[in-house]
Amino acid sequence: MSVVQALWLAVLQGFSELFPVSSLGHTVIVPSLVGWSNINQASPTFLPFLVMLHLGTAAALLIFFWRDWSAIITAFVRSAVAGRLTGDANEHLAWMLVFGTIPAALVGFFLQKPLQRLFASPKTAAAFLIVNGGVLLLGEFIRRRGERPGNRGVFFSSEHGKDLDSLTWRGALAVGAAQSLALIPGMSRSGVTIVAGLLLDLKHEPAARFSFLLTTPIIAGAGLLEVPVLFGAAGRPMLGVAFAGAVVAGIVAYLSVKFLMRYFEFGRLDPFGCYCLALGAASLVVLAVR
Amino acid sequence: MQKAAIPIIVAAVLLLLAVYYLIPGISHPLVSANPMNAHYKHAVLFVGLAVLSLIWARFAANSARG
Repeated sequence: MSVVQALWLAVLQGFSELFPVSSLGHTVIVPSLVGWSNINQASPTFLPFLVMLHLGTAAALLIFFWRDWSAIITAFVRSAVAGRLTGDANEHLAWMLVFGTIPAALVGFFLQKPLQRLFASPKTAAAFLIVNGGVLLLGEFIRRRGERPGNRGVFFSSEHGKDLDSLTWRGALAVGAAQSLALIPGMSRSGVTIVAGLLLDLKHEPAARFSFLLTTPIIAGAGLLEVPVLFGAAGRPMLGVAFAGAVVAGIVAYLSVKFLMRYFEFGRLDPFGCYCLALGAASLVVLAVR
Repeated sequence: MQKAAIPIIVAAVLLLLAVYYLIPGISHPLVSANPMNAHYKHAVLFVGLAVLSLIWARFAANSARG
């Protein structure tokens, strides 16, 4: 893998990890579409590179939400030590994040490799990208049906739904379970968790905020667990490129989350759903023709 | 205190599982690498879950006291 290819993959990761369009799907499909046959994603040197990209993305999320994380961690420690809840909003959010993280962490831990082995072909990823697009559009459709009549509906509806303080532990578990779907290349972590939030009647902005907060411990945890491979025989030659990739992925991820948090104040998932349907279908055609 | 018994038992089982995954030379299920090796990541996961269970026990004990 050349330095240019590595930096392009970093840009792709930073952008597609947080936009609801599946980073894993893009990482599998795009090199195949542009003919980067020299990139072997199963090679032992690719994993350290991927780990660094994820750590870069997690660092960007931590920096963007650092005030939230500081308040959440303080509230979590306080309630864990006291062994009781005081009704504080950050305390509630901290526990919802714990409940949301458990299913995805368990499924990811035990099934990530088998699932990725099963679904990691470009054609399968393209097919699941279409499914992801369908999920985003269906989620918006169901949410719109639940709104009062008279709303404008498409892309920019009036105020609807609830804030994060209405989320229950069962709801958080459901969002966490939905996050497990992101292990399949083509399914977007942020996409399925935002849709799950919408189906629990959250507004878009809180659903997106919960999705990004939920993403951080999973990405950071998965990355940190793999840190030893960076310093292994396979990782050392890639360390420089991987570090540069992490910085690029982090910058792009920071800009992405900044854009998306503003976008979801009024914007909807439909454009991303259409994008996934179009890219998935086009990729299937191109890959079938080749 | 009875309410706290279940999470304490769960925490103890999880800690035992953590130790089990640290022991090399015995077969470990649900691993992607060599099942006979020690699996530190599994141990970390089970310790994390055990800590959460102990926090759960503390909540349960407090709620039982009212």
